[in-house]
Amino acid sequence: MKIIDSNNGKWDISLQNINDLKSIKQIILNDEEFLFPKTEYSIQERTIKITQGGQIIIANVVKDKDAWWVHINGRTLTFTSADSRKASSNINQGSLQAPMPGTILDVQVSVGQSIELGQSLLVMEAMKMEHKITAPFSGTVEKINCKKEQKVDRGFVLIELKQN
Amino acid sequence: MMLAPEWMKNAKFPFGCVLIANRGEVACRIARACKELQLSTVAIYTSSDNNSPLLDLCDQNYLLEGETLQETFLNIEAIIDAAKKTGAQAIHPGFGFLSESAKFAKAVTEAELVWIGPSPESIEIMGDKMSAREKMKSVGVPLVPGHEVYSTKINEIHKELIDASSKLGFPLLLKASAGGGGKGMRVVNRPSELAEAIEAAQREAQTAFGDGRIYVEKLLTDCKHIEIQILADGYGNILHLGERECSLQRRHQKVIEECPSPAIGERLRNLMGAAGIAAAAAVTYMGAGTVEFLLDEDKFYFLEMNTRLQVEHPVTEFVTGIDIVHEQFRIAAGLPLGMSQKQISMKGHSIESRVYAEDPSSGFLPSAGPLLRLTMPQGPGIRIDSGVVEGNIIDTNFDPMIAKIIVHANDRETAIMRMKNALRETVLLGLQTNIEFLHALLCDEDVVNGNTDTNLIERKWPNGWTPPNDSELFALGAMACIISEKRGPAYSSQSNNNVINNDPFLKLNSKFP
Repeated sequence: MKIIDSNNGKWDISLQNINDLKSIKQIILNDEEFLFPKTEYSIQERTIKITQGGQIIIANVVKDKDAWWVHINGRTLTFTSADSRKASSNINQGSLQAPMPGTILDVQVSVGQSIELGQSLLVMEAMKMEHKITAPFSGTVEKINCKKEQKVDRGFVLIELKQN
Repeated sequence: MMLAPEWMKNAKFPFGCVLIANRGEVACRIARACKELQLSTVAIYTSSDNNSPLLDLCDQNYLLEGETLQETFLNIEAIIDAAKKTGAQAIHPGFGFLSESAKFAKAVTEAELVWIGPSPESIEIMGDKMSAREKMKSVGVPLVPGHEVYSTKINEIHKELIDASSKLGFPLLLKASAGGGGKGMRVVNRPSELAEAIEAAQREAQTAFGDGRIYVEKLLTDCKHIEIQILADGYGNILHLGERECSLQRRHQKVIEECPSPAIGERLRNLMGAAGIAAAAAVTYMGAGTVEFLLDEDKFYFLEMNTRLQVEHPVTEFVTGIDIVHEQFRIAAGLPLGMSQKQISMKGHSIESRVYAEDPSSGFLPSAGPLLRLTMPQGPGIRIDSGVVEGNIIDTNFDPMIAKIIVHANDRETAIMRMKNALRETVLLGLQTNIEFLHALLCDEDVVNGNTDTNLIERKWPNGWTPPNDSELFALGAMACIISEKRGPAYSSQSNNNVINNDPFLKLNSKFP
């Protein structure tokens, strides 16, 4: 099974038999191998209990669509399945995504307009904070996917640009 | 008509039912104080607050019609109407929203309701930065060196500010008198930048506040933000409850606060406390309020007075043992303060961490999403102030603060350990938060040693903060994901089929003041 963590590390997890929780002994990250020979697991009502060399580690895991949220050892990690990541990785450099969820306050350019590196293209607002989206290079506006006062999620492709 | 509780039997302005003109954690905090004081409560809410735990905490719920904040939580007429219809006899504004609106305070009083706060006149003087500075000057409270401009003629304004700047020296800070939230504020580093900065500051102040008046202050850097908690009963008794250290900020928003401040000794505390009391006395203050100062070595300067309850009030409550919201109700009922300055003592050390919906790794930009799993820390000396429960959605229309974790211990070192453990125990899954960053802050050497100033976060992490890469832990986490697949669909989130689609804010278009 392949999954990807929030730092873009690619995990290849080999399971001999998912029904036997004691059988996960090896997992591979970017060709680096992690061995857990003395690790045992049990599934509890809200958590997963991992026992490693006699030491108990509790993990809270919740799955939301294709993403897993994990709380372990005071850290919160997110993982997505490699299949779903492939589908969304077609986004190219000229596609400007919303860096945060929020509302579009102003669209300052129009389709076909040529723009300069660093030019302000759009203003967003979330939680009383304004944020400007600027051009990562000089080029032309190919497509605008949002309009003023529209609410967007993080990662929504706002504007598509073509580099000169 | 709700009867006033027994403890109000000698009060001048008794009331039995309180409308809470706020939402979220502060509204829940006030609702609990009301229950303790045998006061009946009314919650106001909008269609987006249907699952808020506040509604379960209050005796009556009143729906405010409308989609924008102007139509709901900022709508003076609708809120007073709600109080009349529900039989509320007093209004507590909390913080934010209308809490510092003199107009609201006046409207509440004119509707013959008890206003839990200072008089409209006090709010007005302190709300206008130039009039507040004038007032403070007149009673000898130290101010950041600066100059107020009263002329309305453009060439006179420029001339006055140029004269002032040569006396003050650079860098300078131009500020809007009606200011707030960094709007109408301009840093000027050299004389050649002054003319343009004056025009820009005036224009911004005019657009944002409809009031273009500006003043200039010397820009003080590497300072600490220290504030004094005040209680005043309107009978001439004014007390200070010591200081709060609030230097750890990002984007001028506080992140971690503590009491007492490691930078302040008994002598400075008494001096700043006396200055805070003088500031409150100058505007015949009544109720709970906070006087903010900049501290540069051992010199302090008045910044502003917040004429309301403060977000970080719990650290003072832990250390002094005084419930500030209880005192607000007693004072508003017209009862004198039941204690003297000598009786106020500070015991132990308290720290507050603000859990924000934000992504530290992308420069602390706001985040949003469903609270798929929420487990707050527990144990001795831990207090949680929050207004959400598991399953609620954190939306970008309101403040990004999800909850406050407050700890108390005998000494600062233990309080830091307690907070670090509390943060590690906090499980919040479904959206990005600053929890791990808060933990990292409390591990920072300068923070541990109390060497903080208001620029510390920006100086150390100018582009945000990214957690360290721990492959071993990631491996365990990845494995936990795979194992969790065995639990079956009952354990994955419900958000796919109900929460997201029912998000009422998809229809909303709220605007901030």
